[in-house]
Amino acid sequence: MSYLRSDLAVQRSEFTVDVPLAVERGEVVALLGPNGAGKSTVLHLLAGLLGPTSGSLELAGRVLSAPGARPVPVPERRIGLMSQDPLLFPHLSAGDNVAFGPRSRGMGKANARVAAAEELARMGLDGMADRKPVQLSGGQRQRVALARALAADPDLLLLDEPLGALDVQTAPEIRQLLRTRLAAAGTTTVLVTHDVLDAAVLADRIVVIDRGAMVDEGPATRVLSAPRSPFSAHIAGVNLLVGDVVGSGEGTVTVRSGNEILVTGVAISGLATGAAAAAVFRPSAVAVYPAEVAGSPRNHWPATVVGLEPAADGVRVRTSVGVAADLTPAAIAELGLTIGARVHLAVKATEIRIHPH
Amino acid sequence: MRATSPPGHAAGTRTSPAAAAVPRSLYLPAVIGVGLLVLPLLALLLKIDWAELPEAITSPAALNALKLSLITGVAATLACLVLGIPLALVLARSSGQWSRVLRALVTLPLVLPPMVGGIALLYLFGRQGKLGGYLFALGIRIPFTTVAVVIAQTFVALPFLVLSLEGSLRTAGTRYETVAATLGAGRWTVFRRITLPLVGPGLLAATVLCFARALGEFGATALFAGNAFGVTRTMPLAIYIYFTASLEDQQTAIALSFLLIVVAAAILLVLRPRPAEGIR
Repeated sequence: MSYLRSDLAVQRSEFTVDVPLAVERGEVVALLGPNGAGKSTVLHLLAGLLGPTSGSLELAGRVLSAPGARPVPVPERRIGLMSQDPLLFPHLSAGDNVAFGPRSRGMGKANARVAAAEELARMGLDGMADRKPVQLSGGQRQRVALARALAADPDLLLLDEPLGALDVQTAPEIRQLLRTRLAAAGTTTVLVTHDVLDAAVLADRIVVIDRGAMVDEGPATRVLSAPRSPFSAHIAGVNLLVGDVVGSGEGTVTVRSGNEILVTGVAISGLATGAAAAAVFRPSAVAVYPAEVAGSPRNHWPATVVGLEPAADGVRVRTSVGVAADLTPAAIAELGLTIGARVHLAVKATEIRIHPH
Repeated sequence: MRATSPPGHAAGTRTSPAAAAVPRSLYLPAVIGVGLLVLPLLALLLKIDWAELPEAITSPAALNALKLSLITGVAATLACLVLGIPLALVLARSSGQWSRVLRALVTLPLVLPPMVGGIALLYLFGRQGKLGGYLFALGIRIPFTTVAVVIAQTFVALPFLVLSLEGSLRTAGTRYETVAATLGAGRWTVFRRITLPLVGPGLLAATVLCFARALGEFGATALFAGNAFGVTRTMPLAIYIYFTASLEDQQTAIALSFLLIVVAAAILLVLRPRPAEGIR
């Protein structure tokens, strides 16, 4: 029996958000997906801020929501919520913000103040208890918000894009702090993010969501290194082609993908002809040529450029065969790449990993 | 309708100070408007016999009206707070057809001539009234008492408090309340420790506005409460009665008017828009 078990679902105008979850005590699960995929909706269902159309929710041995029963009200769920906007109560000091949870749960004023000071100290905010939120920096506010959420001692902590509003200098700092504090407190956490890095650093397990449904799920390392859906590959920043094995050579297998292109790569494990397989390779391993290439590349596909977008180091070129290539801006200029340009893509077989699917 | 910036006014460019954009021909009506608002008050101040003002203000008639006005004004403001804060919260946190109907009903006394309100109150609380009949049977008489003054003032001032506070509550939103609930705070705790403090500046402004309206109330009071010395003769009623009486009484009316202007000026000082510290 899992610590958290939910099959809450809700009908939205575009699609149904239905993401069953089973989370163990102390586990950190990341919900990864693009904007509008329904990630925050899942959190709001769990927190009780949104009524489900169906399903039930159990947490720490308590039924919080079940069909036909009155759902447990938000304050009694012991589910904390922290979003990208720290939403510190502006009229209360940092210390009083953190003490708010313990006070609401019946702790005396003096004890709550001590508990708040301790929690603030763990966040590296000693001596800041008397500051008002306006007197704090963005990173400090987010630390106070985390301290406040943890001080309430929730059975489950929901983090909704907790680093989304922070600048590039502050985000890594808070990410690291989240990692250490969640581990030390042993807080069961469901984290919503669209940033792969957050998921990679913070989560034990990743659930990938698209249009309200789970499209991939598994240990963080597995989902990020060997994604099982084109979508999780897209967000993990890798190319993924799924199809059937049509042949094999010396340590390599060849897969015919769904869109009829042939991919040859290194087999991760034994793959018989006819088996379902997924080919994974990095966009930086893809070479782009203006005309057909003479020579050795085993993988060689004609394609049309369908998109150009900024990538981590350069420009990501999206093509009609569903393969992305990362190029430097100089290379883009040299090739004169624009949307609609005809190109030839080439990838060395040694750069491609073929996983059973 | 979306506001669109005129061509040549791209964001970030500032071609001229805002004042220069006012067509010159509009300055004349603007100045006349200011004159219409300010000159009558000036004329009143010029009419004051400053040597006799202290005596006029401290005359039993003036002091009595001032005392009654303050007592009933404070009582009406308290009544407005007790009834208005919950009403504003209900309006701010509801949406849909019923809340629109409710808001229209709350706004009605605001656009109604207070005289009409006075007549309506009389038909509710009067001896022949729907509620008044029962109250009279119990020996409770409301019309033409100090209580009637307070009810009349509450009737005209309540919409000011409710609508102004509702605006503050809507602006404050529910996000802080949601966070407080996830931290384990029940509804009453959220109301007391989050909702009310967050709208503090707005509530203060609404209360002052409400008090000012109660203080100036004339029409509904005149019809529902009458004009009895020491019982229902508040400052506006005293001004009316003394101004329309003999010539020597007019100084009392002018002195009371001066007092009301001073109170209004003080209220404007309190209401002066200040940055809401701490609210982002």
